[in-house]
Amino acid sequence: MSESAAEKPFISPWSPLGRRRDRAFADQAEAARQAAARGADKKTLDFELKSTDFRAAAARNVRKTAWLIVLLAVIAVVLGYVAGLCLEILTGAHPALNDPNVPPTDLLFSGWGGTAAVAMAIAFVVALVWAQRSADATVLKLHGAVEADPQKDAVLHNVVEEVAIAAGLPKPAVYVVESEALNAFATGFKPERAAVSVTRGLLDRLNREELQGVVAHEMAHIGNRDVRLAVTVAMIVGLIAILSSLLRNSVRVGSVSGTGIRISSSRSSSRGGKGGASGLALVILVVGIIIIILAPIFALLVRMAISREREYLADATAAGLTRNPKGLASALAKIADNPRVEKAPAALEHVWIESPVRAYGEKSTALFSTHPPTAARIERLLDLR
Amino acid sequence: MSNTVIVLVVLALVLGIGIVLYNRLVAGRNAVQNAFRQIDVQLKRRLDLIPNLVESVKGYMKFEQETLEKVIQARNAALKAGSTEEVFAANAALGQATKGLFGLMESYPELKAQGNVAQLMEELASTENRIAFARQHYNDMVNAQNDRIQQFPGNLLAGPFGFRQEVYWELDEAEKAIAAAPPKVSL
Repeated sequence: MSESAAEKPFISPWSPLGRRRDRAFADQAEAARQAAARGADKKTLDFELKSTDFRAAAARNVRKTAWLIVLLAVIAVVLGYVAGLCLEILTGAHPALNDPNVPPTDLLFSGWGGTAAVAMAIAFVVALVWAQRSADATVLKLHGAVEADPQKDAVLHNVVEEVAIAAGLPKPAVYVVESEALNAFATGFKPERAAVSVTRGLLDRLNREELQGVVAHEMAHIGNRDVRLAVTVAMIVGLIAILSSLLRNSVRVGSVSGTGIRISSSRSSSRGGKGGASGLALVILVVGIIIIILAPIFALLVRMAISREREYLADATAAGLTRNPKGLASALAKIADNPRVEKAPAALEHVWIESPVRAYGEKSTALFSTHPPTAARIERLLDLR
Repeated sequence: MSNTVIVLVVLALVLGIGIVLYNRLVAGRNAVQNAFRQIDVQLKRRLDLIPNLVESVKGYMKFEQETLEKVIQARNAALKAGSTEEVFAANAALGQATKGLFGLMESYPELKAQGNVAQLMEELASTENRIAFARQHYNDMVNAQNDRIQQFPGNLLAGPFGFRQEVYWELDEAEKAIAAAPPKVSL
């Protein structure tokens, strides 16, 4: 096992060879599974480290998250403006529709749109601030996790305590999910009230070094406040989705009754010379509706991208805590083999170390997935920079 | 009039940034001190665990009395150590002695299978990890604080307000020797 792992050529996750890399990784996971089935392999898989600058890696991930959040804010504000603009044209309230002295291009400038954009910006900031002060979410009960016994699961308790010391955080509550699958998750809005949960299968099949890596990954989520960020981002994306669906309905009602179009066409026929304005109004409405339809999809894409970026960040932070990227890399390889937890709700997919609902062998490179492909995560862990 | 307002705003801004910087330096210094206490806590934990372990294995390891004696002596020396330098040195020696004991226990498989001993060894192994991580965290905090002190604009405040460079926890000679050739311990 270890020799074959060392002989695998290094393939950049961004190269066209990415797909072949996935296959190479699948071979390795298959070998690990067979070895584990024989009860032989509790050894850490032997990986070759390329670079270990976890600080640079973490800083890059933080930067990327910041840009993604800015992108989300831009989507929210643009949606607000387009919504205001469309409504102002549809209701016939736009000055450029009624006043022949205003040039038709002024249709693009909308007082309603401006107001709505500012409102969205304020809602965005309020959501961010609210999340800073909000109370703890009770995610634990949903997974059927029970508190780990300090005697029976002494090793787990010890490992959590060790990693908490490395992170300089209070020791979180420790839970075990009675499942054969290999997975783990962290909950809690702040480090003082956080919990780490691992499955029984994970405890049985990973060695201490790998367990330490997994716990460090979860501790990284706690220290980086990732649960809070995920909830905030989900809230904002939800807001965008609700607004978009409200607008779609009102625009449909508007076009069915023909208010907007009748108003603009009546202007053009009665006064002449405003044909440009009504034509432009139609174009704006069509483009606006497309933007309104696409906004929630883009927002969801950004949300998933943030989720994946936070996974990479937690991996880099974990490497910094244990100073042992190989432990986590080896654990990820073994987890990828069997991450499916029965009863795990898909809505909470993002809190786990590896998606508990993704089917085995399913392509995880999709833009809509909460977790990056395991092969890419391992690749980056071994080459932190 | 408007010039006065601008000057006042700039002054308020500078003062505000100064307060934030100063508070960060204080928080950083406290974090370093706290991290240092954490090392103490874990060293103390090791001192408490060792007599139990030695007591449990004494009966089995009749031919290793010398090693056990060394561990006990190192522990007592660490207990008595007064100055910080003495504490560092004594604990380094103790770490070496316990690692020697761990190595010896490898040749007593029936000993490791004993529930009581296995449990104590797990605790001691965990404690060794905790000591290492506590030191690592201390050094991380020192690193962050020294960055704050040396980087602009923190360096403008650090001098006048008496923030000094913090000192890293480094391996002493005995530990360097172990680090160069670590004894094989597999639990």
